[in-house]
Amino acid sequence: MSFTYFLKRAAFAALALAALMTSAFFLVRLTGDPVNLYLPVDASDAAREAMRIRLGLDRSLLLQLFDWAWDILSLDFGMSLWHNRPAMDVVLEALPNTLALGAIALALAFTAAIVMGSIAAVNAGGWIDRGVNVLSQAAASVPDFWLGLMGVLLFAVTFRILPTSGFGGPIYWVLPVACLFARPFGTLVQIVRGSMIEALNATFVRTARAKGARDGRVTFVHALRNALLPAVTVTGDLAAQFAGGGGVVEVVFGFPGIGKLLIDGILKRDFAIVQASIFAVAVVIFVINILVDMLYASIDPRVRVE
Amino acid sequence: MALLEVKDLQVSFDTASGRIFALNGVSFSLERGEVLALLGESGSGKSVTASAIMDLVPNPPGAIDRGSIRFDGAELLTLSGNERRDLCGSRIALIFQDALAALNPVYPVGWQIAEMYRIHGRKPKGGVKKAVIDLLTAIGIPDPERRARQYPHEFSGGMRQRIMIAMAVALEPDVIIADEPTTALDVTIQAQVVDLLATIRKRGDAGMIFITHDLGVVAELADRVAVMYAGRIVETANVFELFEDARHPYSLGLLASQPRVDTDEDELVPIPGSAPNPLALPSGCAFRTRCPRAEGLCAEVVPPLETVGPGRQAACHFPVSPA
Repeated sequence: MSFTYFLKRAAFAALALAALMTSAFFLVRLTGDPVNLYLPVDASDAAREAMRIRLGLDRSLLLQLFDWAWDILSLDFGMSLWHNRPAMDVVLEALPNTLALGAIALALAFTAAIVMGSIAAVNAGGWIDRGVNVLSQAAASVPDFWLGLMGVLLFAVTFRILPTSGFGGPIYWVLPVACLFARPFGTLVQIVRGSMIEALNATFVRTARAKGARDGRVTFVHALRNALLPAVTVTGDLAAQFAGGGGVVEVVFGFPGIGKLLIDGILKRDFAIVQASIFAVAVVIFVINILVDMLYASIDPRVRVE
Repeated sequence: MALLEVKDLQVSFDTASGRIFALNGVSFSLERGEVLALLGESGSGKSVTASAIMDLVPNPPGAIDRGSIRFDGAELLTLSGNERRDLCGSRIALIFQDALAALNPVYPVGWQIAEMYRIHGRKPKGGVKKAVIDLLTAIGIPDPERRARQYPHEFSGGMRQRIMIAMAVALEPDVIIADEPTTALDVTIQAQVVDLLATIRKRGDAGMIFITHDLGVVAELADRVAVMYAGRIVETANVFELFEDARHPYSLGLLASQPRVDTDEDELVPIPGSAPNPLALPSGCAFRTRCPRAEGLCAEVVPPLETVGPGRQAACHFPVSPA
């Protein structure tokens, strides 16, 4: 991957980011007037006007947009209304939690799916294959909020071995990771199984057997590397989704990630937090896409860009 | 004792519409230093024969129902899977038809050739890397150090087939099976690959099975020919005898249907009809429905492969008389 290629990608990403941030600017203002939320119902009109002036909401929308764009270009995302701290500081505290949660869940799902999918493909049609198929279909279809609630009910309420929610040591990660793990695992097993069956029937696998390679080498050296590409593509997609936060899972478990921060920010009309979160997530997704491309090229020489 | 001896080999496949017998009792033998051509139309069982020798018949749906494959005195069909694998590549090697599909797209070609040494635990003099470069040089790949690091898609069709050949001969096997190695190539490139194979056979005393439907290549390379039809060998003869004096009506039909420069004949005579449906082979001799010499007996009794002259056999009730 050459440097000019990277620059081209970055330029396109910057354009997309500008468009995204502009829409975020308008959309977040559709959630309502923060002044009505933060001041008591019986506050005087003068007090309301004073707060609007302090927040800069009294000026025309266009003027606000230019002012805000200039701030963003100088990487100033404004103060959080709710936290009363620079919004980006709050975002950068939540983002690593989300990234770690997503990375752990995806890494586990990817590894488990490679193993299970390969085993199913090698035994295609047999009872192991059917068992894996049922398991992966179930994992891919079960809604994560239901899984989360059932997990809390079973392990936190009935057995009392895991916390219901919150944040702390490794024990607080078990249920959120398990919930996020299920869907990618189910999807990836199906994909690995399919591409692995195709690879195992390819002529180059016959060549490997004709060369004298035994089953393990044929499966894991020759077939698997060819079967990895579709799984990497889908994992990249899922990683981009997870970068936006574990969504429902973060809310169910009160997990202090970017997803929960974003939802709270919208509810609290904390414009700066919403905008800073969207910006940070967009940058992460750009980086993930670049990484997936590089990974792709390192697995398959045919897609290398000269 | 023959180097490789196949006897009464029967291979069948389960398909959605019934059991197909791809080989119906194939017998032939291969001596050291000999090139045996397996000649026949597509579907006649040439490639299945190669697969059976290399233990590449997919099971299921395929199965070797009966027969024997003896290599260097040992019966292959009773060996364990891993014992078979150890022979493959090191002592019996296969060259595939379509090198682009047969080479692994995600590994450099040098790595794929070097893998032969790694799989079989061989340590060539001067190291594996040097052995690979020497092989690439020997098969006529220019700039071998750089080319070894490149991937199959960066080579032309002819170059890829040379790399397949280099891989097959790397460990100096006793038997080389070439499964239509020139079919996917341009005519000019075909000639180069045939020349390369001819050089290789002169170099050692390996036996070679050359699978083809191309009479021209047979004439150029083969010592002996086994003609296959519908999963059986219908005639074996040395290459000159076959071209001058074929005994089986099918061999004769094949010769008459391809252009030749060594006769004055300028009319091509096609064999009437088409290859039989393997699900519903004609009773008796499978060729009888297309055969100008067929009589009542041909529908009742399968003609056995019988000696019809010194070193030659034909499976026909009414063979063409010697010229």
